[in-house]
Amino acid sequence: MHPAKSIILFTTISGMGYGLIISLLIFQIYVGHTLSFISYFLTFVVSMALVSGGLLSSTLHLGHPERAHFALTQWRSSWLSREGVFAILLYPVIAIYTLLFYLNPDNRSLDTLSIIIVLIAIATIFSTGKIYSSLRAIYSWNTELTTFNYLSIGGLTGLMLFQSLLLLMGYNLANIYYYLIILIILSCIGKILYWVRLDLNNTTTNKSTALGLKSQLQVNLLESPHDASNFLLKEMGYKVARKHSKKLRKIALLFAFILPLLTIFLSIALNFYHITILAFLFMIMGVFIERWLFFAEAKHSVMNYY
Amino acid sequence: MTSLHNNNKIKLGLVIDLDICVGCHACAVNCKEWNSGGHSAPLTDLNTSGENPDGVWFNRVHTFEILDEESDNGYTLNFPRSCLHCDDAPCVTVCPTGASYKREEDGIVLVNPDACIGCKLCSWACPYGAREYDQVEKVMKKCTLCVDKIYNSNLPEESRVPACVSACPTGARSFGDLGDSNSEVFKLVEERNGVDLMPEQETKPVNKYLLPKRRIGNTRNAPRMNNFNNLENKKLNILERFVDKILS
Repeated sequence: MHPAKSIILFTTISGMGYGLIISLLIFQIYVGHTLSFISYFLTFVVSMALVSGGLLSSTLHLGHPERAHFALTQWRSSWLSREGVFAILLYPVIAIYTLLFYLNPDNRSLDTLSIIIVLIAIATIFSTGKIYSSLRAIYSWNTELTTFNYLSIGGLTGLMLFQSLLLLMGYNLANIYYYLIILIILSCIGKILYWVRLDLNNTTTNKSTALGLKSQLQVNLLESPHDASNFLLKEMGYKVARKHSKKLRKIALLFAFILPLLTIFLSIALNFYHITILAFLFMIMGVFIERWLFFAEAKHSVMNYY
Repeated sequence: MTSLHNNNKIKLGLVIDLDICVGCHACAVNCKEWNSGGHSAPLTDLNTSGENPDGVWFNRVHTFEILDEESDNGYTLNFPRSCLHCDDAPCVTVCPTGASYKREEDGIVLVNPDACIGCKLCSWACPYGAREYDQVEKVMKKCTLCVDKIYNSNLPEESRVPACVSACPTGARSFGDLGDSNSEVFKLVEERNGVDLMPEQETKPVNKYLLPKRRIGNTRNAPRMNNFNNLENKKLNILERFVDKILS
């Protein structure tokens, strides 16, 4: 599949934004909404900027962005529509939370609101994952591991960013490191399993079934329908990454999970927590490569005809 | 509405006989001609006389070489590929706007160009590559089964079939109601054991393909295609061998 920059940016940035919201509000429940309003508000602004930036970037890749509101209508059948509905739903709820928190941090309904916001944020990332995992035509995505990868990496990058922001704002909470380490390990295992499954290539679709042939015969394309390229080949026929995919996977694992993990251990060992900000930067680079590979490595069943 | 209606009674579709298709591309060309002025018009072409022409086509004809290594038999297969108007059309259910829909009355899968936002997700969901994005109109386009031709009462009755069916010089394409067990197309599929493409994708295609019949006689001794890419398959003379040795 063609790795469109807008979708790579959308899925990584907005995933991180939702992860940041989830981390922020679970943290608020944990500490009884005692974060200073300024610290809360700064984190809130960063998460909204990420989420909205991601949404805007994905809207811009549409052919007709001015009709984007139609996309909220088919939530009964379409995961893309559900993603849009959840994404929009989050704004008013978090606005109410922010207002109530500003007026009175002891308000009892803050806990309930936090839980609702966390659930909406999780539902949004879950829907993003489902958009891909529900496509049977693309074997590499058609697994719940895809949804798991989106959820775990969204949560991980969000928590990593939350930790970095807290450090910059002068908070230092050792507890968060344990959750970070657990999330890094879970995300890493999820991604490795995704690649193991991809390499097993247990798809039953092949050049023979594409032609309706009963047994598996050797099928070679003798004449393509057209000499030049076309939409299908440009959108689905991306092959560049497959040549270097093994190397790129190692680089992605190294930057997204291994280097951040080592940096976190180092910061604990040295008792110098500010270097975890470096871990965040590594992770961002790693996740961009991971997401680029997610698209570039995916093979669409229509390529059996070419 | 992008939810699917279950159990369309009438299932209009095509039956394509790969046994007699000669790969002449007449179906694809006539499709392009009719639909350039039809329901999904225009079928935009870009850079038509340049180096890399591009454009929207609803029907594309591939030619394959099929080899059965066990019996050492081989044959050429001409294969027209277009929308199969699936009963469980994944392109319909993924559409977030309701632009993509399957008609309840006859099962034709269509796109409403006024509601399409051009997100291309339907083209990802279709396993067969039946949907193409129009880079100029910025909406998705696909085979309409010539919905503007098959019901057109201004045309003589024998012309009320999709453009690809009208054009086929060998009669390899048949059009009809595949939901009606008394229809000619239904009987044709029964008689020839018509097949679905990629049945494992569980899209339940309405269009059926008829596979080539078993050839009479033995094709084992038929001349195989030469592999011109591989020098070793050719008998080289002394000079050629010398040049080959120096160059390699």
